[in-house]
Amino acid sequence: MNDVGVDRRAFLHASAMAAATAVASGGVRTNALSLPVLEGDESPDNGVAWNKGVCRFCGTGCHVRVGVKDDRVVAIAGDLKADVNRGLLCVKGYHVGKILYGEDRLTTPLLRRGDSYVPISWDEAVDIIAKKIHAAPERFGFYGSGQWTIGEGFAANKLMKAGIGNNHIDGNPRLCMSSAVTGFLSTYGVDEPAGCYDDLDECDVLIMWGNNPAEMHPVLFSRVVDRRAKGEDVLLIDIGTRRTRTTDLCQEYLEFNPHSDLAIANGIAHLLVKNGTYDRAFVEKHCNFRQMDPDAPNNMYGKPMSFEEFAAAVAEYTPERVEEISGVPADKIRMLGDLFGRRDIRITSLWCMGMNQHTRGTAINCLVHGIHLLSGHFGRPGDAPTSLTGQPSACGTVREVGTLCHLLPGGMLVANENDRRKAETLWNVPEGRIKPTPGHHTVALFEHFCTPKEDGGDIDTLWVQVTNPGQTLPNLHKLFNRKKDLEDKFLIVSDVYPTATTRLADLILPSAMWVEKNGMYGNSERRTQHWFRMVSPPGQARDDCWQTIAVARRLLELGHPGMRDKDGKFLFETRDANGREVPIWEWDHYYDVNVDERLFEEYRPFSRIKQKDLAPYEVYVKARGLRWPVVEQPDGSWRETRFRFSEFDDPYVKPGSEFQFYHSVTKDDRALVWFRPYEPPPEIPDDEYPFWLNTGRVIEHWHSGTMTGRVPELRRAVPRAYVEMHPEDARELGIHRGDMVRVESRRGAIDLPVWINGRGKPPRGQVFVPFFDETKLINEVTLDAHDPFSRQPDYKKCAVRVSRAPASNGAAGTR
Amino acid sequence: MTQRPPDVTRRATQVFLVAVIACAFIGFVVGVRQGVPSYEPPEFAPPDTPAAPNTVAAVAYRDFDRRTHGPNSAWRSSLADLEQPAYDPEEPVHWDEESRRSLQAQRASRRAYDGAPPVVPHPIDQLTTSSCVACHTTGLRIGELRAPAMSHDFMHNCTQCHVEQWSVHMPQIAVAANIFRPLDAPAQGERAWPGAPPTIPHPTFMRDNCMACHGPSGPDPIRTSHPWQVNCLQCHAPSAVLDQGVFDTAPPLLPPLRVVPR
Repeated sequence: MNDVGVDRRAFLHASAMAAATAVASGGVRTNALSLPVLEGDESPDNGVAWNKGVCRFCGTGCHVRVGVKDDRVVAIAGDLKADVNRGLLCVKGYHVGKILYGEDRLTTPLLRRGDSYVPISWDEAVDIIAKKIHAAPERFGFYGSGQWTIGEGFAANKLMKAGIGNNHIDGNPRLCMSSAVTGFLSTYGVDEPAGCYDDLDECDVLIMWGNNPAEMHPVLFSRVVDRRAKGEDVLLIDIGTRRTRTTDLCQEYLEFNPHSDLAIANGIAHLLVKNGTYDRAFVEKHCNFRQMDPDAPNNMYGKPMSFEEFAAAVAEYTPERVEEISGVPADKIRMLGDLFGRRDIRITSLWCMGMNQHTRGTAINCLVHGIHLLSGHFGRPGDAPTSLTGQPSACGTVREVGTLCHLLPGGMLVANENDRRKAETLWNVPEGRIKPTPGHHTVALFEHFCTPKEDGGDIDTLWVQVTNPGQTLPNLHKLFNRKKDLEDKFLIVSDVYPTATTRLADLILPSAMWVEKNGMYGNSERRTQHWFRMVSPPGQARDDCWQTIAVARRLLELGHPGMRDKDGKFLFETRDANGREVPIWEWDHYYDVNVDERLFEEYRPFSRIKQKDLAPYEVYVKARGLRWPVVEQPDGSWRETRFRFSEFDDPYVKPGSEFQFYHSVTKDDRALVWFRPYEPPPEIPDDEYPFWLNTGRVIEHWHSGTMTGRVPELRRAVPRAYVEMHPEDARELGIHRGDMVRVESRRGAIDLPVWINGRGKPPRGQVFVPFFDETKLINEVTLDAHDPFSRQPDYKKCAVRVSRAPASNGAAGTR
Repeated sequence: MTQRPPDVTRRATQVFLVAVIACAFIGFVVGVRQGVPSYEPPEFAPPDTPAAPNTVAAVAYRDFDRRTHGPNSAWRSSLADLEQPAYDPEEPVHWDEESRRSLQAQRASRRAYDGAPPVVPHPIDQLTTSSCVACHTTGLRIGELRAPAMSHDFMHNCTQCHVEQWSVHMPQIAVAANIFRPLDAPAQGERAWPGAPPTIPHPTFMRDNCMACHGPSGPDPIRTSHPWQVNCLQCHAPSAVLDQGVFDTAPPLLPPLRVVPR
């Protein structure tokens, strides 16, 4: 077993400068786990060493202080020095230390034998995986995660695209924020928000589009509501399909019919144009207009249109027409139009899954950017359209490192020849190593994996790391459960606890998690964050990144040509400070050097290609995260960028231009204001399935509940899934609170207890079910229809029917 | 003054009685039909003991007075009517090792580790923050029941950090075992010598209001004996280390005097 201090010593050895700086500012501690580079951390007398970490849960990216004693996490505190959370956390963050200590942690590799598993050694496990891949490299897929650290994602991406030469690597952010990506790309030509959390301190109006930050991004939400509690004037507007805890704290609640947010956005655009209150100067200088091209419906970038054509296109979205489509009163649409028409206030929009998990996700993302651009509510502190992410490193690892089937690191594209050449040069692999065709996106990847070979399923072996698709994919019966009967398909799952995914795994690998390994994450506001390993993983659990590298090495030994670069060197060759090669594929030597730092430094040059510049590793060691582009200053310091494309803050904007969209789709430094019409959703409630089903989260549980479900304080607060329902609907069906009902769609059914007038209040005709409960898989009911550009499924609406559950089920669960 | 005819009085009495009977009947029917949303709260279990599964039984009308929550025999419908003992700032503080230990055990049972936000040890309605702040703004003490005041400034979203541990809305379940070993709370602040004012043994972040725990609604072992002294930090020193302050190993002093041999 490694000494947990080894990585730290190796790191210090390698970067004496960082240590020297730290000694000057922080102080050296005697405790073996102490990290002298962290300013102001000091262990009190009770023997607890405190270090900075990043919360393991959502995309907010709060910094936590982790208290460690005797190689165990014993306490957590909000980090007062962190810009993101300023000392505050949410209930999940305060309990994040307990996620390591569920009694059923996976601690040894397990191989399926019939209905059981047998423990095997790591050598055997690595050998099995490598041989599976080597037998048919083109039929291997890798499914990763927005919870991968940057190093883990980079290693997996390199293994696949520069090694195995197959682009079948995708990540769960496909299910979570890929519509935000396509929205940014088709509006600005480059991914990720221009604004940042500082906007929340400056805005006069905060609009939440289908968003419940009081539960999902509570630290950000409290940043705004606490401003108001202290006497500042902030108008909070909730545009939603169901009343939530967020609604309770908003002055305005605009309830719209599911899917009709496009009509609302178009209605605002129409009023801005009709009333002449759009920002003429901003639009003339910085915007072009755009629409879909009917001759090329698959082209996400559409075709140009004039302002007059745009005005004519939105003209049909009068407040009255919008009311007809959306159910939001025309006066409220006028209120929104008037707010956006004012130049004297600052408006920030926030959204997350409501707009992204949408079969028209790209379109609604474009429209919300569009009304901000049209009204000039852009690029000044407090004026921003900002999408939030649900995972801690959906941005850092997946969007930036490019662990999706069509991306290369640094925002480059697999399909673009120039981009491939650049990546091949940086990776030092022969020209042509990277395949020019994108791999399978998530839904297609699992469809192929769950389809027999003879029926065209072209993925045989699938490796899942740091995610739980057996619970979170939509339409599970179609996209996951069918694997059960397919003998020749091999599922490898690296995880920390048994999950809904491991139930069908053929090989289960125990992983180290969170502060059991070195890591870096990138949050929703372009902030790259760093932490060190603080405690040892249990049993034989090992870093996911090590697992990937060990398999790569075994493939090299088996003779796979892709595992060597142009000079014949191993893809993950790593040398220590004295230039000696370190066999990092052997676990005993993995922490002889800081592999995370080595991978990050290999990745850094990619970040500069599209002005997403990252600073050297040691700069992040000292910081509570930095927002890219991070640019070196003449005095050698590194400066982060809060407001992208704004001259006053972004060093890449040409002086004198005020704003410059320097990755513009139209190559003229302008952003695109899109017209996208409202269209009805693919599945609408009818006589047979009369209810809308909406799914989502609760504050206590994070995603599939693998971690939070093992924290007693969180589990007790919300022990199991339930279905929220309107009291009138319940009355009509003769259902009382606590009764078991069956929620059934064309795809599947589950039985759940009803909660009426509970935490969320759906309108008539809608029900809501949280998806955290691994014993109540609501995704067996949801629809796998997805956005045509982002390929992101719509978990927020499908048609279901609700009926009293058969008695046998009711008896166990009712009160 | 005119005499009221006797039949009007009789008529009024009849109308009144009919109305009362009708109300009672409707009330009974409605009550029977909907059941009575009531609930027996279990004793609060320490965090690592699974809560016993429990069911929520309807309460018979005759047992209403004995309900532990909701309208019972001690129920008063407004906060102002609740009998709070008059606050006597000079009331002596009683404490001994036993009561302090039991307070510490209770405190530990309501948080994951020292410094974690306390869980909510009673059912909540999930609806608004106003129901929380009704009792927790200034704090309450009614008999043995104590509702501590908020130790921090008012924040809007109570359930961001504080969550209930048994929901009246859902059946309880056994909780998966967790082998986390928490950081314990310090027993007490350090004193330079007997009689010296103790230092503050916890961070002061989110604990701006000392009186929340150490004031009138605080439990005896940690209640202040001198509430009229309002400038707490005059005598009780916080800790820069606990407050995440910048800490240098070398004290910030001028270089030592250079003393050379004679």
